[in-house]
Amino acid sequence: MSKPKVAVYKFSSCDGCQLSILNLEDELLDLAGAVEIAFFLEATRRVLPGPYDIGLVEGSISTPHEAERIQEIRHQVRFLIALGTCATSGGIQALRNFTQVDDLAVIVYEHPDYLHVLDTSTPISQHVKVDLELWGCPVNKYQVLECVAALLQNRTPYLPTHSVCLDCKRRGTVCVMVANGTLCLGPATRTGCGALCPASGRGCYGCFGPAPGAEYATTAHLLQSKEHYPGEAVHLMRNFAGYAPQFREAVDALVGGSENEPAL
Amino acid sequence: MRQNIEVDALARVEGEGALYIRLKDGEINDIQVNIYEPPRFFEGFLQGRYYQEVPDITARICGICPVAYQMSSVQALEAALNITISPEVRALRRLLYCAEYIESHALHIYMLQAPDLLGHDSALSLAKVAPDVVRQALRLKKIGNSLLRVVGGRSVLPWITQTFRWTMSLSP
Ligand code: SF4
Ligand code: SF4
Repeated sequence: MSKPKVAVYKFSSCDGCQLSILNLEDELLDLAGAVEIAFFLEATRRVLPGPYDIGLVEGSISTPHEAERIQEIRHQVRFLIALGTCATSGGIQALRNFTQVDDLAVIVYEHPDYLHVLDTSTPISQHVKVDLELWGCPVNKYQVLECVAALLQNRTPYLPTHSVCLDCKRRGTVCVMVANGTLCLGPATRTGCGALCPASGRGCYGCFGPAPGAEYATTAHLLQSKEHYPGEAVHLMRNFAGYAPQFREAVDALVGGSENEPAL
Repeated sequence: MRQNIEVDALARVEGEGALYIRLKDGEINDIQVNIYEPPRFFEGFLQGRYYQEVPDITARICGICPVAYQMSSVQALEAALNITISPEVRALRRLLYCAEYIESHALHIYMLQAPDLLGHDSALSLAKVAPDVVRQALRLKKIGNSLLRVVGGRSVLPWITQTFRWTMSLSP
């Protein structure tokens, strides 16, 4: 049997999620032995012709060209994985979705008219069918490995969906919110990092996106009641996964629903 | 004689780019580099964010060298707010930065550049003829990442720890 072909793609992103794959120092050579790395520009200039069995897509869709390219890729790839919070929610660059992209462009570029961008930065699933979403800004490299291994073994990958809070309890981290009054988005955030931030005494800022089934609005109201400066809770949710519908709705619940702008 | 060299997507670079070289009578006549990395407007959406939030956001400018962006934003904020940091914090920051140097240089030299110099497609194909060298390179890269994890919490986008802690304790 020939080895399954894997393709890795980049869209609007920081490269951090692709780097997480290259950071599998102990596993990389074995991985490259178990699959055929058929397209991965960050790692190799060798390009094998499609179709590909597994496609890992980093980044969000933020330009007209990207919107076209993702359609072509969907036709090439049998199992498409959205890799990281940019790909699953639109990422940090989706902050433009809450304002006018033209207003941002004039701040940054002398000739904004040279730019070819979309008004919004959106997740891959808004454009094509996505078979699996892997959250994290950046992703946990072992979750990437687990997904590929599971596909090779024809089983469902083990990707728990509880909130970060449970991980704090497991590792015996004292709750930063209860003990120090530090705002923490852990109650509403998906597991995957192992509760890294609270373990160092800071609050979670939601980089793994919303935990399925969490109490988003309740968390938002609780956070707001503990703010150190006005708008802290809104900013916490309107961040790396701010365009995820659950965080969007929770912010709407805080600022009254009609407004789009965070209370600054 | 070949007239044009066209590379629509450069491989093994940090980011995205294309390269077009036009030759005329064996001489280079025209070179075009196209960096088509999409704009993400960090300078724009940073406006209106609190200073506490800035280093986390700027880290996402580049996941390959996030410490550089955290460090420059935190230094800009400190200069603006007239904050002096302790020698201990400065030493920790330097350690974090050195960790990134080690990881990022190992990545660049062995995984991104060496294959070009040695006529290979990738470090993976290089590993087939020189497995020990590639394993050693990966070990070096891992040392940088381990240090990043110890000081910064994780290897990619190390989250802000004690090294930037003033951002947590100072009220606006
Ligand atoms: S999800 Fe985060 S780490 Fe991954 S590419 Fe986007 S900004 Fe970078
Ligand atoms: S604790 Fe929250 S912000 Fe920190 S790494 Fe985990 S998910 Fe991301």
